[in-house]
Amino acid sequence: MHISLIREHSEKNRTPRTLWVTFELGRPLGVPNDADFQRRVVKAALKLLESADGPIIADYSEDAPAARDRGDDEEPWVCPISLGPPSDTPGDESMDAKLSREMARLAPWHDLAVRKTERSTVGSSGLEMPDAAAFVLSFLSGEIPESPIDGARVDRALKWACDDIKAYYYEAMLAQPGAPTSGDLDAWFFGETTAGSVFFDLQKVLLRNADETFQLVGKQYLIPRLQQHWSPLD
Amino acid sequence: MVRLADVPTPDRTFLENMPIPEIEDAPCVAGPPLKERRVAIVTTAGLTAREDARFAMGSSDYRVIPADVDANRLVMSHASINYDRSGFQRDVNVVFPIDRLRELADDGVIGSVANFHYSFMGATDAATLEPAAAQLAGLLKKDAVDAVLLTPV
Repeated sequence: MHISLIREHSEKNRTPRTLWVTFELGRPLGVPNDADFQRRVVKAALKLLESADGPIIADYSEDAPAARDRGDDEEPWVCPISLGPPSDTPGDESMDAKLSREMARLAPWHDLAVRKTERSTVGSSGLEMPDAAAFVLSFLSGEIPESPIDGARVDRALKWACDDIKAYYYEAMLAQPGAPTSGDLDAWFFGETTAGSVFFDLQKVLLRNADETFQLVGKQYLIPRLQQHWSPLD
Repeated sequence: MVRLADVPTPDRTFLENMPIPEIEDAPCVAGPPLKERRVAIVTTAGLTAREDARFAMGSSDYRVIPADVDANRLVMSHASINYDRSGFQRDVNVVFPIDRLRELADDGVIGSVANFHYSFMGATDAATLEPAAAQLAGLLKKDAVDAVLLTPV
């Protein structure tokens, strides 16, 4: 049985048994930390095994509570902590210093997240967060550094380091009061944080690189399409 | 609620134009009752155990996830950045519902949970996955699996 997030794709590839769900991309079981909801989805998929006539596409009847977007009548989510610079910070503070300060402010929240959930999805690169940040920042000069990961190409190491930085920020924010949607988190990371600014700067550097591999990373693997508006490409 | 028509551009444009293999042959065979079925998860979420090699952009291979895995130690190295990961960051089961399968086996709804589950990285030309998929079919048979739950992201 296949849980499908896009009905139009399943109509083309004709998987024998498909349960189409209306959930957000990235959440095939619908709702995190809701075992009853997830169990109903799995059981609906399993029920398709009772039929030997296919291909079948069954439309799942339950919608997940809004995960990405807020309703018009809901209060907007705001980041509950200030990540801005102290008042005595020099105006020409380096990007390195800004990023270090921001990560230091998030560190207690990320520690709390790990204690609460007993897990972290940070770890694709295997780099400690300061090392991941230093590696990503080193690209901004325009020079391509050596890969800090044994046996891994530098473009792949860069992608994994960026994934880790983003996961670190999101997990820290999920430990705080409030219930941000995925859209809130994306808008906060790419629209408000220094790390988000670094990602946009990195994208511009990679797109100028002569090597198509790095151009591809800049074009496809850093900035979600829905967040590019914060720093549109020419 | 998310339907393709409701997805904002440019994501909708991308998804509408994504090449999808059109498969004519759609085998749909009968099998034993659900309470006797042995179920495996095959996900295209790019999950790996922390100790395993990560997926690279364009990977067409797969990773094995043993049934006794501590699912909280799985990491995601999917190439795409255009889907939500915060659900997975909150709860691995929203992508890889291993705890739900264990519960359904304990309750007698399904027969058992497979010894091995499998992970691909879905942002890949589907045609390049065929050799690995054929190999996987053999492995699933050896594990006596007769039902597979496919989960995308």
